[in-house]
Amino acid sequence: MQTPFGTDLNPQLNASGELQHFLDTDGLNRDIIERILDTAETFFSPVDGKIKKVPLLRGKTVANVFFEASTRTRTTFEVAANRLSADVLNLDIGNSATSKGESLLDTIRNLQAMQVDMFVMRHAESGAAHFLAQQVEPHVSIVNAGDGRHAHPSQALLDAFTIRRHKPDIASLSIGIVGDILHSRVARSQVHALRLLGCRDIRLIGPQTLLPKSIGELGATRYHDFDRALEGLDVVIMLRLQRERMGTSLLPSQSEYFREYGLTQRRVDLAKPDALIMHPGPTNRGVEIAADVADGPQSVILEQVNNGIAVRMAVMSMCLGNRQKEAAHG
Amino acid sequence: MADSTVSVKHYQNGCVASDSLPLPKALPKSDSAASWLVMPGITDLAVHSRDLETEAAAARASGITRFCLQPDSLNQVADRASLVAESQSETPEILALGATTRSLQGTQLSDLASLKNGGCIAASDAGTLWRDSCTLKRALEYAQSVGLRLHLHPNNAVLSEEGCAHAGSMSTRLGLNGIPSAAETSALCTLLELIEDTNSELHIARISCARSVALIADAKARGLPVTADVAIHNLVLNESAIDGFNALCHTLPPLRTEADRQALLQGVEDGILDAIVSDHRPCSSDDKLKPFPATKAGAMSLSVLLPLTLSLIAAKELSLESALRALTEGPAAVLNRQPKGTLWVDTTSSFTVGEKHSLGSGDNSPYRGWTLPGDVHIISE
Repeated sequence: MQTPFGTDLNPQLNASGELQHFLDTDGLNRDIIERILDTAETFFSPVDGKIKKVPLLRGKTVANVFFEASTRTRTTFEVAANRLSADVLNLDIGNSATSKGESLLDTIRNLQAMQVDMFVMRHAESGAAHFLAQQVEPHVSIVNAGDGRHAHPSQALLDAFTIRRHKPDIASLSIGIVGDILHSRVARSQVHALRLLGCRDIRLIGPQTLLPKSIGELGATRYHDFDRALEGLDVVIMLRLQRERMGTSLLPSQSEYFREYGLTQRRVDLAKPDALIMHPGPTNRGVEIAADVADGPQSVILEQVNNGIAVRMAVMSMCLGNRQKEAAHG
Repeated sequence: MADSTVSVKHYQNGCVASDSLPLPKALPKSDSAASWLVMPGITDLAVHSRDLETEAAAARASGITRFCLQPDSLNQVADRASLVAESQSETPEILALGATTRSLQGTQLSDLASLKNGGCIAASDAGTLWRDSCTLKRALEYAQSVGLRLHLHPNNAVLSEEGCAHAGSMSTRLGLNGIPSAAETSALCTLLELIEDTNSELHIARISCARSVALIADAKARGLPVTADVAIHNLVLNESAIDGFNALCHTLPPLRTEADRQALLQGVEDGILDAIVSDHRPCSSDDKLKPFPATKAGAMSLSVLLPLTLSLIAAKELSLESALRALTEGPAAVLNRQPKGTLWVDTTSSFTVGEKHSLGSGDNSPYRGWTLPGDVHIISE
């Protein structure tokens, strides 16, 4: 078979194999991921552990374009851009342009004309960031802050960063991801990132309605029995379960879900004693995680948020840094 | 297909697909062609058009001497009157399909008798969804009573809802809503039960998976009056073609697994599938310039129907006899016709898709830039 016209498998890397957009962990390599994580470490002050302000993106304009609601991701991207000294535009597109019928491409082209260097975008359609990366002007970078159920790569890398800070040898770990895998862009990006970092034991846990059969082909093992899957886990990553999925043909009820897949202290005790408890947030206490577990000593949920700032700074500075290198050589 | 007249006779440097085809007195470029083929003109059962003249010219240039115009063409719906005036074109002969339901909504029957009297050769759902089996059953019964054959796409509306790709490895990786094969096979089972129950006949349009081929083989073995076709893209491409969110390969039914593709090829080889169709669906560039799930499904393949089939023959994925039958007398028989006209094809000459002639009235060919065999001339109309 010849390659279909219009196929561009990995627009996030430039001709030299360096990051120019940040679309997905699928298609990156171990070297790039480790460089992102190492760069993120450099933003923490060795004195007090706080994230420093640096002038790496002075004179650059970053637009946060969120077609879907978000608090945490959008705020941490904004803080990250500010710490990099970029000018930041926040656009709540969900309520304006597209509701008047303007296409995604027109919206972005108009913003591009305002000399934006980078778009941080969240969109409800899978592939939206990939699509835009192929349409924007060559000096503009796209950072995917979540597209449909496809990818949420910065979340995956901040999770990897958090794990690595506690348990540096990721390759030797057993990591469980629990819940609505079917609709989760976070889970997909995590599996790719953890695989690239050498992790061999990734367990995806949930009922079959939320755990597509072919997800195992990404390099993970499927489990329906949460108790059994917990055995020997070093890290338990809980996914947010959207309440609107309850009482549909996907899940019978909230109480049944919590009984089968809710993370309680009894279940935490089935994993390794020093297992990390993670959640990309926002948590639904009593739906997928018990309050005492979310606030318990093994939980690193709030640490994840802070680490998100440094990892997003690393991604943004590397994309635009590579653009500058290209321009200088070119 | 026991009475097939496709029986390839080989001559030095060439072959003739049927005893009844006269060898042309003067073969174009016969000295230069290393290998040539004389075959009947192609009948394409499924062409959607945005501009009839453009599609007709593309058909003529690629050996399609007759095509059926789907009822959602030309920005209209043929639910009251045919979209084609009689004798609009001699070659290709354009035969209109009426819409099975009003506005193709799948709920209220169209004026099927008026459509037939207005010249429609059959009625099609154009790939739109049926909301319930009761309407489907009544459509079969009513069409039977007015003597109009239906061309229906088996697709369960609930199972395929919001889907845009085959439910499998690629859709899972890309996070796209999947259309399971069961959406097709469960609808196909319903259709087969309904035609048995209503004693009607049916053309099953656009099969995409292995299990459907088996179901049709079984139905034919039981003597049910069914015919079936497959789109050329389901024979040439599989689900991996959408990798990188390539919206040009967003089709309905979707491109499925390699095993499905192989089973469809075998279905054509065995004559279980009567026809290969282009399922030519021209889209504007805006229709495809969106995130994948929001793009319009469809690919332009009218002008490459024969070249792609020749490439399958060259790759030994199809035999010459079976492929020619599925392009000529198979689809003609679905329309109760004989093939129209005769073609001379230089099978060794190759060309780059998009450089030679118009691909159709849209901007959505996944084959642009491909090198394909086949220089075709219509030698009798």
